[in-house]
Amino acid sequence: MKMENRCTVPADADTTWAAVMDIPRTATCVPGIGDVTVDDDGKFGAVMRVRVGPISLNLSGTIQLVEQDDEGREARFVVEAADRRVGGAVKSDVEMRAVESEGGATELVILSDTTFMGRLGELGQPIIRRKANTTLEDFARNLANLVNERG
Amino acid sequence: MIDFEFHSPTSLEEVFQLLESHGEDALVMAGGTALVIQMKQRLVQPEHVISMHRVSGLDAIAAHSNGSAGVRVGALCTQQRLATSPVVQELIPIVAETYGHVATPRIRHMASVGGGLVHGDPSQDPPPTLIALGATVTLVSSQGERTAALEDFLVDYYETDVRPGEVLTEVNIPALPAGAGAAYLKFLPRTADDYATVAAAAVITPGPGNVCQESRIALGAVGTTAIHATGAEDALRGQPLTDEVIRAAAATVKDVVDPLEDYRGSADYKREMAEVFTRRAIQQALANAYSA
Repeated sequence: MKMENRCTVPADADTTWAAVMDIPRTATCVPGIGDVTVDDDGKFGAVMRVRVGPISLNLSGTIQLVEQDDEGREARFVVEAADRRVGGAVKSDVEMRAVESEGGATELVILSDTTFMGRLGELGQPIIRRKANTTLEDFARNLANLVNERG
Repeated sequence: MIDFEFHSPTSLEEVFQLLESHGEDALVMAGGTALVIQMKQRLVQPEHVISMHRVSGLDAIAAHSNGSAGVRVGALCTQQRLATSPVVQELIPIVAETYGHVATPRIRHMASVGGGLVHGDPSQDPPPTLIALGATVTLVSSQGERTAALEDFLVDYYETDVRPGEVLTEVNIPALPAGAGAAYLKFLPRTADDYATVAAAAVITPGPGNVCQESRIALGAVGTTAIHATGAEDALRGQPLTDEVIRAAAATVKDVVDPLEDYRGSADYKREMAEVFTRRAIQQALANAYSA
């Protein structure tokens, strides 16, 4: 499932990008996420609690930074997570880009291509798309607050 | 089927103790028509199932004792009993009629009124009618009791505002206002026992000169919860109930519904049908008001 989400962060592009690339802190902006750990192989480990309709999931997985271009303010991540008990899993390729916008603010563009497996796949795309959108909206709001705190 | 421990408490106090002991690992089961399917599909996997089947005193249907003509329905009352209750058929026939649309008699004989509401399926029949009537639900825990308007209780797709330790015990359904008519329309292009493609409920009170004194309108199957269409109500209130006014009011629901696409229809199709069935529900409720 491909999605494109955009949000505006009220800070300049360099400040926003520096904040975004502090991955353990940025990850805390995702609703329902628990502690983020840095693994030996450069991956980040995370646990996320999420409810989609009747299903409550405890997703455990990794975030891997596969490309980073600080000049172009672009990065690509691979996120993989699974809930063994319920039998649901997610794999997502995420591209993130910070673009200067009007009034000294920054537009964060998030392109994602996600595969849902197991129980999550049974819920159907419309409801998952809706949940993903609200999650990204919350993420953007939390990230804007985080950048403001740092600024 | 997954492994779980099955509990059969005989009182609400025991239910509260079990909920406290097992927290999020426990789920309450009433009729089981929804929960058992979800468990078989492994969508939910509780470690403890707390059955309400031996808890007595929560299945009564009683007319209000305060002089108004509403009814109080115990959460464990089956949907079939509500659909066929002489008291309900006499005092609020639209409620009996609406519950008669739910699934099939076999399911209605098992499914409970409270369990259905806690389930939070946005395509169910009862919520639009109950919201149009202004129904409330009572939730009890070891800490006390609270009442919530049904429309506030239905939070999101299969999510309802049952807080930790709480059990829904009663649904309080006010009667129709004097002079009002009510209608519940369910668009069923497939089979009689299907969920609605779109559903609309209206309670309309015409006054002198056919001017709308009061209106209540709610929709089902066109969003992640049943939707209270306050914009359509405002468009009717104080206006003469002409075809033009009713059409304009019904058209407002297209802006508030947010249907999920499925094999019953695309989101756009359901949005169009929401307008059509709202208009028909208002017209039917008005006709019922005059024929009463």
